[in-house]
Amino acid sequence: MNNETPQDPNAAFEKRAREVLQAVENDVPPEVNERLVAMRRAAIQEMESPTSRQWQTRWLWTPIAATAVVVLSLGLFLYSGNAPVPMFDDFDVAHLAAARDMELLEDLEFLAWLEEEVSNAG
Amino acid sequence: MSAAAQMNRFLADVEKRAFRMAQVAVKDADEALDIVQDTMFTLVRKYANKPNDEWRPLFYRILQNRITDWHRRNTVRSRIFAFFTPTTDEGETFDPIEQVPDRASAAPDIRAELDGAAEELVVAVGRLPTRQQQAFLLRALEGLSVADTARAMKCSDGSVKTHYSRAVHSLREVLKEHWS
Repeated sequence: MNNETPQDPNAAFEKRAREVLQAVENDVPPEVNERLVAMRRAAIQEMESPTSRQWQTRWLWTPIAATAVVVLSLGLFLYSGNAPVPMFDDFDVAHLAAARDMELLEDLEFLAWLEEEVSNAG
Repeated sequence: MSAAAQMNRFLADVEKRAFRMAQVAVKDADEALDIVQDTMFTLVRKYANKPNDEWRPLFYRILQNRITDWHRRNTVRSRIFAFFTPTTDEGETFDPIEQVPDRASAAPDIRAELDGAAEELVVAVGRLPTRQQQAFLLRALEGLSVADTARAMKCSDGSVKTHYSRAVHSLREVLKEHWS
């Protein structure tokens, strides 16, 4: 082909083979040729039809949607990775602990009252 | 020129060669036409938006994929036939595949159209292993470069050179008596 020299022992064979194959190509029977032309016209019609353009649009939207999902996932991942973890200082911990203690005391008071009520009724 | 007109011109340029490649590969004109039709529609549906200079290797890649699929289907079909092979009264297995004429050697529809050297070459190319056949036809008939042939065959440039070189060697061996 392009990189062969005249000294190449295959060059003459390849040249002849190419000529023969080109003759074979041009020697396609008329009925086959008609069918090839009909196929080509059908393919081109499909290319020009609105349905085909819808297909093209669909092919266009698929990568856009996929890219958007990837970007969104990546953004959420990076944002959550950088977000500071909420920390409590000593005051907050003591405050929360006090609140829990108050609840416990209220519960104890309620239980004591309930016991009194039961014993009074009895 | 509109995109459709450019595509029409491109397909008109390659359709006969594509048909001959498929016909040599599958040895049946109707099957070859189906393969070319499928290739045309796939190119138009999926790759019409690509730059025009990419159409040729893409077209031949689709064509070779369709040919490979055809061979694969036929292989599976042959295996299924072989699995359900009945035996004759004499205890010999009856192989329906054997009843089918050897298309590789006969290929009546294509042989009837050709004469002498062309017939010998086409039959010899049809007997080559698939990859060698693809490399030879894409290079010799379509005139693709090594790089474009590699794209069409989904392999490296080196593989294309190897397949092509082996194909030429085999063909020269087979045809030396007839072509000398």
